[in-house]
Amino acid sequence: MELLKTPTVVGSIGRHLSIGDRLSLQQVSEEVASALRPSDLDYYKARLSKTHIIYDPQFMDPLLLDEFDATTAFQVRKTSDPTKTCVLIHSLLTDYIKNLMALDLTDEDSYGSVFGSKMISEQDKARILVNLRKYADMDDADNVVYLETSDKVQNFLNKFTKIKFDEMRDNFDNQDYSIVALLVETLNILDQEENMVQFFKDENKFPYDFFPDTILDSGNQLDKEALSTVIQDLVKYFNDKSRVIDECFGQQLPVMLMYMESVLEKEIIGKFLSDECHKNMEIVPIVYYELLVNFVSNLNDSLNVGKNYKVMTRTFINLYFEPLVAQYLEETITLFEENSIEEINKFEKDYEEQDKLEQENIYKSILNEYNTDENKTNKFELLTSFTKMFSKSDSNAEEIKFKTNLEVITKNLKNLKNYINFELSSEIINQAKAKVDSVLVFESIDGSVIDKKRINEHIELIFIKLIGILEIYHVKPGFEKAIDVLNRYDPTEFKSLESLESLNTVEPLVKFTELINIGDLIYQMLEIFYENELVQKKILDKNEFLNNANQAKKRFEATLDNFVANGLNIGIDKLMDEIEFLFNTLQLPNDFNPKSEDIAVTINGPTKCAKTVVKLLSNHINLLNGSTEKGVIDVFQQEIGERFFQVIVKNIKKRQISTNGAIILICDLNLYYDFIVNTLRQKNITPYFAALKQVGQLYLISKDDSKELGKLIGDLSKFNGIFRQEEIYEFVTKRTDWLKVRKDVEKAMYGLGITDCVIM
Amino acid sequence: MADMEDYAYDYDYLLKIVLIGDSGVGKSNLLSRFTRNGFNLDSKSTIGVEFATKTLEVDGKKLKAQIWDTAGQERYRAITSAYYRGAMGALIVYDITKPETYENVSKWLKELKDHADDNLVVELVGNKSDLEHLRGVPTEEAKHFAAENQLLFTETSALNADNVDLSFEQVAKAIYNMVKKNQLDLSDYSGAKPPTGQTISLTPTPGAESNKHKSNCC
Repeated sequence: MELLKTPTVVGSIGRHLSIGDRLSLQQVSEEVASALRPSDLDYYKARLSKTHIIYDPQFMDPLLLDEFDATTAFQVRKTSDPTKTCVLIHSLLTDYIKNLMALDLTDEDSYGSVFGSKMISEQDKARILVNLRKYADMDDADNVVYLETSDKVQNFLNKFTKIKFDEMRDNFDNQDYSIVALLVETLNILDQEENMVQFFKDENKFPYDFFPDTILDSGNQLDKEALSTVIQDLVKYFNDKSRVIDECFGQQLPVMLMYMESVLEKEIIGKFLSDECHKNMEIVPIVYYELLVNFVSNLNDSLNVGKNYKVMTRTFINLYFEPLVAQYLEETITLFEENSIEEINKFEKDYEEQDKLEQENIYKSILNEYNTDENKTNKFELLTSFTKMFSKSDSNAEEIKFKTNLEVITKNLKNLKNYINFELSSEIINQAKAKVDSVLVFESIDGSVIDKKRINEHIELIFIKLIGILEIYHVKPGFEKAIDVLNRYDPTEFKSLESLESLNTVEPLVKFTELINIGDLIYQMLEIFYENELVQKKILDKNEFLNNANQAKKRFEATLDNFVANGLNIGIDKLMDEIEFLFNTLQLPNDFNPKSEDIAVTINGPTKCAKTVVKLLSNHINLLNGSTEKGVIDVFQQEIGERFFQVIVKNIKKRQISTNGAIILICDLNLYYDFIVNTLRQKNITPYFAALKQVGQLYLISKDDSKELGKLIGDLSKFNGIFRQEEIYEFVTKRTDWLKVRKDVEKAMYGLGITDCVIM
Repeated sequence: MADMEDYAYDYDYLLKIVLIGDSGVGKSNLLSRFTRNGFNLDSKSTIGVEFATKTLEVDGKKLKAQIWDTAGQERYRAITSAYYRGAMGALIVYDITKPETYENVSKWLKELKDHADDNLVVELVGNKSDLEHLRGVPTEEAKHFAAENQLLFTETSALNADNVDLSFEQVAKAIYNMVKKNQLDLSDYSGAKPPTGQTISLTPTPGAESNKHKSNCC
């Protein structure tokens, strides 16, 4: 005890004592107390700093800690007298520490003894415990006391917390949510926020059997009813949870949003919906729509979250759904392209098979006709036996070959219009329309994850793809094949005289115009698509030349026009070939030079040939009506008119025409003229045919008037300026009496006849 | 092609008749009314020559009329000659609403005289009688002129078909009667005639016309 008489020694000892021990030492004697005094300020300042109570000598706190008790001991933030403050905190808590240090932690029943005999709420117990831990942290001058005390306080705090969680679990399970709410308050004081959220999540694990096996039907398409049920179930589920959360947590702890986000991310979007969408990406827009619109809007208000509940839920949905939407946008166009091409390929394959079958049937029926011995021939040996037949130098071989070719060509012509299929194209266009409708779903959603610009770009892309697919994979190859067939068609190859009698149409031209019709229909559908889906919905501006969709449309139009023009050119060639063929076969040598007993013929109107030719032409000139623009039709009809005129001229020049026969020729020429004026109605062409009427008169003139005939040849205006003088002269040489009139005609023309020159 | 062989025998006589007169008086419509019972309101003027036929029955004989419808004007005499060559009848048509077309009838008569057979049966036809309110040529005057020139006469309307058949029929009958009077056998004309287009030649007698439709003749 001698040592205590030395103030420096006392001061040193005091610095390393716990608060309780230092206060006890102070009580030993006045000497000791004064020896400790110089270090009091530093000692207590150091204690308070551990609990962040600031020493401020200027701070006026008249009440000091008068009103505080064990539950509120650490509410002070500043003090001008650390010694007094610290001693007061000590005095408020020291009894609890003592009780706690004396407690046997294994004996839970005695836990109440820590808080004394007074009735005290669980929340206040929690508050005292939290303060005890702060006190234990503060009282760290004596390391042994510090470790012992803080360890005991922490252990008890853990025990106490665990008991509260256990109680909460029991009450939660019993749905005694009002008690849970009290426990939440207690646990909140104990800083158990995170553990409570985790507790709620653990207690409310998302049911593993919540969702159906799938929301797709057997055809892998969205079962809208199933999706709707899922959404309704989710709404009910979250509204239930929200109600419980509101009852248990009120606004004490933000549980709902965390729970919502966690389930959306891990269960609803991340697992189930993502799996379903990956089975068929096409369902993404509608699933997204249902989630963002029908799910969110049916959520009840949440007290726990407050007014941002729906906005935040939408944000979470967008956050976790965005990758699916991005993938959808990327894949849907690829899918559309792949499916369309696959459909086109299937169409072509079916067509080829059908074609092959027809061809085999042709072979088969001809084989059967000519080769009854080999009737057993099966399909696979068909071609071989067919080839064999040709090598046999059979007398029938040529005939068989002819018949086969005829049948095959007839088949090819019949099928020409099927090279482009309207239904197929229409189906693909409809699919594109469905794609547009799908992506527009995103536009209709409030707070959608993709914006208008991106939607527009996407729709434009669909249109460009659609045009590209139809153009490159269907229309172009179809027209190319058709033009090839048209090109190879030789109208004279398989004609017999009987077939000429009934010749009404040039089949390839008719079939080709049917193809043009189909092409035009497809274009019109694209045009409607363009108008309705792009222009009216303001996806793009019609007048923007550089726009890719506008350019694609123009390109398609140009492609179509080119094929139409090429095809029509060939078609007109074939038509004229056919007409020339008719002139060469049906126009009889004596048609315009009847024998005397045939004179009666002169009154029976146009020749059979002329009538057949006009009938054939009449059947073709209106082929394009309604399928293409007026300008193209005019060009087509004028071309027919001009070419027809040339064929007639050629025909006249091949004939011998008598004055009697002139009447028949004029009847023919009148028929042609009437056809041009009344049926073709292309005014530009009329003068040519009027001139031909005048040409007819050249043959009506009597040989006695040969001099005037010569004058007529020089009168180009008589023939509308259509013919040159040499040409009119050539016409006149086709008179049956040419040799008799030649001299006079030439004299009138040149002043001298060529024969005169020879004589001289 | 079968019909081609038959029609050489589907009539007894073939008569060539020409339709002449100024442009626009309605020749083509008269012809189409007669042969096809048709009328074209906006018919265009004829270019060159057009033909139509119709078979009539007179005294149990089939007369096939081959009618040449000509353009109003033709500069070339050689062509005009061809029109009239072998013609046995002619209808000079004028428009009753246009006196100038009636005044030109003399010109057409002269052309016939220059080019056609002297025995030609000629009828003066005042067309467009449906336009009575616009009439410019009095019926009596035309009738008088016809009588003076020994022409048949009728007024017609191609539009409502008035007297159209009659006008052609009376020409055909006149020709037939003339032929009969002259004891010409026409049935073998198709035998060995040269291909001149001249089907029959005949000499009319003064009584030929008075024998028929008195009401329409002078």
